[in-house]
Amino acid sequence: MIPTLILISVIAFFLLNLAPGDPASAMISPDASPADIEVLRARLGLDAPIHVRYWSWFQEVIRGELGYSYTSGRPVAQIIRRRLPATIQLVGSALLISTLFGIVLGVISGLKRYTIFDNIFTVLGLVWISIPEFFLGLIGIYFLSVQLNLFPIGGRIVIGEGRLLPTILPALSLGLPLIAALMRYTRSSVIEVINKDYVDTAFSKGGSPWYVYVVHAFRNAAIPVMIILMFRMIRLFSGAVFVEEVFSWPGMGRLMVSAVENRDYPVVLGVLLVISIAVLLISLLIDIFTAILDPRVRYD
Amino acid sequence: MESSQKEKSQKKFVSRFWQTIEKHTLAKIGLLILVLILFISLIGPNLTPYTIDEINLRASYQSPSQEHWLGTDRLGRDVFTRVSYAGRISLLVGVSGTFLSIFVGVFFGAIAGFFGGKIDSVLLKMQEIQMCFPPIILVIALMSFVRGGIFELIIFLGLFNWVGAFRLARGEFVSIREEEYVESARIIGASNLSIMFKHILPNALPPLVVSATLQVALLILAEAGLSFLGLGVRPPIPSWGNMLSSARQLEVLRTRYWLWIPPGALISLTVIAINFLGDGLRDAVDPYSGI
Amino acid sequence: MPQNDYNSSWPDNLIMKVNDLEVNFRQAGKIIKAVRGISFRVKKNLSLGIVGESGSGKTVTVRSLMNLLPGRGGKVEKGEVLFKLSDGEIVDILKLDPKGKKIQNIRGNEISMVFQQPMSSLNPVYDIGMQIGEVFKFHSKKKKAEINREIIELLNSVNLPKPEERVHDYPFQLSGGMNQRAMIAMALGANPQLLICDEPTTALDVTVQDKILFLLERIKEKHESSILYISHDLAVVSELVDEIIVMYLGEIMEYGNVEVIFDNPLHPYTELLLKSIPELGRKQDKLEIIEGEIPSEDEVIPGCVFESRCPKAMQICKQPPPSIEKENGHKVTCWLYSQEVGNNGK
Repeated sequence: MIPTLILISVIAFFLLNLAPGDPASAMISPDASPADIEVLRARLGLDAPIHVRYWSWFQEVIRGELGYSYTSGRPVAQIIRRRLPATIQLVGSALLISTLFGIVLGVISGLKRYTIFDNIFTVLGLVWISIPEFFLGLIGIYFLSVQLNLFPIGGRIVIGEGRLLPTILPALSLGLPLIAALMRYTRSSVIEVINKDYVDTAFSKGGSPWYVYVVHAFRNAAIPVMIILMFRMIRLFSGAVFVEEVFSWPGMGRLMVSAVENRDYPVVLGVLLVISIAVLLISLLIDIFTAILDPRVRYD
Repeated sequence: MESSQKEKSQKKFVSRFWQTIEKHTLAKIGLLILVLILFISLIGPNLTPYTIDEINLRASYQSPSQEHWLGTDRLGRDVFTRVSYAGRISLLVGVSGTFLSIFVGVFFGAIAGFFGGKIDSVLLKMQEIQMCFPPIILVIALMSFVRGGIFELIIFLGLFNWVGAFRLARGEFVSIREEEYVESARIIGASNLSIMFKHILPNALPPLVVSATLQVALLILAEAGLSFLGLGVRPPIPSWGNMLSSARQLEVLRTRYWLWIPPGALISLTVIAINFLGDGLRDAVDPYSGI
Repeated sequence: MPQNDYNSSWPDNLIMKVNDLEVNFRQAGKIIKAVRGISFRVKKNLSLGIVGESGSGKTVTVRSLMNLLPGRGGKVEKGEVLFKLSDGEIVDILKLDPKGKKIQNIRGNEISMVFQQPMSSLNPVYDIGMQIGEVFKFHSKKKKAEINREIIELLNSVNLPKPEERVHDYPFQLSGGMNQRAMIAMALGANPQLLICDEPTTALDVTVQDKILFLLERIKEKHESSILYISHDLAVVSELVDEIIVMYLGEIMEYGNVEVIFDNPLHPYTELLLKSIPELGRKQDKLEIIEGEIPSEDEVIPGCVFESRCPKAMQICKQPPPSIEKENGHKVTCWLYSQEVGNNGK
């Protein structure tokens, strides 16, 4: 994971240099006095060859110093920090809801293969995976908020303030495609596992269907699903950009979009870096979880 | 003698392929919808007396009627004309972006799989990095550096979606690399490289076709999203995405449904149709993939 | 002790009666007759071998005995599998609810099974201690510590070295032979009346095969279980079992004491099977190969199923052959031994 992160930082720095404007000067607060600027310039090695500049930039980044916004002048790190929790809440809820519903529906479809339930949800799955999240969000808002006045229309209320409700609609809009994908892969995984020999063995020992499916089948079926989850959850981040727009959700997605519109490169790159770290962290978590489920991975 | 065996198995594959497609209801529905949408995109704008940028401020915000089948937008432009024209844009971006991504992916996948070693490791590392970033986010970021239009959009989308084709191509080449006749061919001379392309790629073709089909759906969604944000296809060129963005205003959302429901519905229908078709293709190519 | 109709005529030395068992499969719209109506008896403390080529229906038969067919497309069309439980009650296993408690009490407890592929028959994510322990969990109320002790004892009895360590191992860490021993231990855990072995050595190395067979022989001597042993290899089976059923295409060709059959095979199919065993010390000119074609799976065969490949086939063989009983319970299903035909060998 570390080498990947380093490589990403190199690419980020490279991109920073491509942009018009002096990359390292973005590290300097607009409030700084000319004397401070001189000190910083020396420390950042702005006249030095590029690898030295990279190294000093890298050190700053490690310390959490991501530079200053071109538009607002405020520290990028601070801006991101204020927006991060909202996105975490959104993506986290979507991940939770999707995993729960996707896996449960997939298990039922797999156990009741070719029944009406299964057929309906297979088609539904294909539909859910096709509708853009923002359109879903718009429709949701239209019916539930405008017509029925059930959910608040926009903005976000922190969980601590007592209302989970506002998260539901955005999280659902964001997560529906993931539910569809998980449903499909869980279903085929369950079907494959049920036909395995060790399930027969478990029955032959006198296990009840409930026990055999839960203890023997389910865990094995979950393993490939985890891998799929790892690949697919990244789309939650790109989807979050749209969902945040539609629901006026004050997260990093909206931050990025406005930063792009304003050519605020430090912010753009800051967000990119944070996203890549988040993705890598979640991948690590899923990896660990897979290792818990599957002893074969541990012994490799 | 080996090639005739291959031909036989290829023929069997093709006939089995068509058999599966014929029985697959969803795929047929998908194909039908796609043909309809293609028809609307190509012929639609010509069915109305209006052009896509005909501004008529006096006819602003009219609801659907006989003169304007889907009403008009803020500038009095006919929505039906614009929405059907937008189909061309989305399909254009989707298909050409996919072609580019396949081209790039197969190219690098072939190199990685065939040569192996250091080249393979480097390319695999790049794949790993690419997978940390959803392509859409990268394109959004890039749009801050480059003020672009449809062309740039296609290039970026094509460039960042190379991973799917890369893995398929690499897989094929890696498995072939270890076959004996490759060793002997290598001894004979590098000119056999093209012969190997003729032998190896046909095997990779079916899953590539499936992947490409689904990729088109993804790119259409990506274009729609980017245009929705104002970062993709820019006005006055109509795109389903940028037509949807009018719904960001609450008034439009609440009262002027004809402005945003048609483009949204058309995006969804197109992608649904492609996914139905892709499901059929996937079953035809590999009957065990979904069961 | 629950009494029912079956008890009245149940001989003391029997534990299982199979009557007229018919099993069909549905595959791609075709109906395949896997078992075409067979009957046999399993005796107490005696081992019975079922021998036949692949497609003979032997695996389907034994799976039906525990009603383990549902879900694979197989359906029992007719027949009964009468089994005498250890409390004396006699049940028809096929009439029990396949998901119900009664059959769960029989599986693993009164009847247990050792499968063919040890590597895939054990769950890769649980250690073998846990998987063997399940037998105790399902069928006894023993405490964890006691269960662990019993597991180690079992593993010892199947000659698995260092059982205290093996208990925590996962199947992929053990060899095929060791896994198979674990499976056998698992099957013996609850002291079943009947132990079914479905070609347990086919997937193993030849050297390991011998060891497993030796183990099974020892088990036969020490435990009070009857063994039902499936194999395609007549030579292997002959060492282990007391009686043999020869099956072909879902029907029983010959049945009887193993030594009698080896000395005096009656059915032409049995003769050919015996001839195709290469014998040590005897110079083989050629291996007798059974000629002819096996009828396709869904073909309706009016008469003897072996007729198309039988070197002694006659016109009358196109009609269903009778089951003839010779002395000492030696049965054969063949026209050659029918009085009506006139000529019979001895």
